[in-house]
Amino acid sequence: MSDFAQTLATLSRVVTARDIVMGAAASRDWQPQHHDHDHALAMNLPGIIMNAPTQTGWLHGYALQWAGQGARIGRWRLKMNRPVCPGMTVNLGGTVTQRKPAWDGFEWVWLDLEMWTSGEVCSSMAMLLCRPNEPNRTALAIGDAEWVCPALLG
Amino acid sequence: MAMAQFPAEVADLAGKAHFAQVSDGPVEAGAIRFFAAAVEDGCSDYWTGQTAGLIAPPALLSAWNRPLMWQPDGSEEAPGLALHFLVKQRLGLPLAVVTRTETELARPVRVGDRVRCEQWLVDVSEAKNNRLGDGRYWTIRVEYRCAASNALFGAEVMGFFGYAGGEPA
Repeated sequence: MSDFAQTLATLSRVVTARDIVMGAAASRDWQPQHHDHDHALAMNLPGIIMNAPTQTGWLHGYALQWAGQGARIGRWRLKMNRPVCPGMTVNLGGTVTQRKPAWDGFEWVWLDLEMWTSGEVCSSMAMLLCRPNEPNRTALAIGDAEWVCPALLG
Repeated sequence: MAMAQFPAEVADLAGKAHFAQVSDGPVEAGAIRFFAAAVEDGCSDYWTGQTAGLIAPPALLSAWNRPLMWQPDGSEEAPGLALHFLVKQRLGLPLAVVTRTETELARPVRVGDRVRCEQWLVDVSEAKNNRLGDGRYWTIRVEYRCAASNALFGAEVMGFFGYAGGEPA
């Protein structure tokens, strides 16, 4: 197996209204809590909130940037504990919780990812991905019939 | 395994697939790039201009079956997750948020694919209270398949909290 860090470097991002509205629109999510501030307040939310596909996209991009070229996501579990709203500075971080050999030249990697602000976790994601151990290979080349993912941890 | 208990208002929805639906258009590269820009995903596949065989971001699995919010014939807006909205209506809980999702991917969704989905009601909780108000949690499972071949793209289990609004207790 290749040798790579067990802890992912923290990434900080300031959440903007554009992030939330554009993410919702790009995932075809027209629910008003993702673009209408007054509606969100009437829902007892602090403001418009980032939808699940956008949070997923942020965390996937973060993990794949770390995993490198040729990695492929198999499963994930997203838990949203508190809303992600404009003006928040959120930190993305993660740890490798397990690694196991997969097909020849590939390994499974289990990750625990978090998005937090001011010491409070907004969302967490358990993820399983497959990554190559050798350059110029991609897990996306693994055939549909072969592609069977083990379970998430926890 | 014990069977989940369902409130009477939604008991008839349990145990069967609902709202089989095919995406209103094929998966296309512009939509993939738009999402990549929205989440600032620099994966080179989304930005080279090569669209043949391009694989959609996994985070977009559910997006292809959310219909557009307007139609030129004036037909009513169709919600993307119709079973969820039916549960809200039946339970008299007009507001809802997603609390969790769990997704497994069987094969990539590529440019040109059309996606067929079906929805199952998995469980509905007893009445609960949290900082949003009084309501219930429920879970819906959605399976996404290739409309042409019926091959499974993936499945998503979504958890919701539906509530009535007003001042939280």
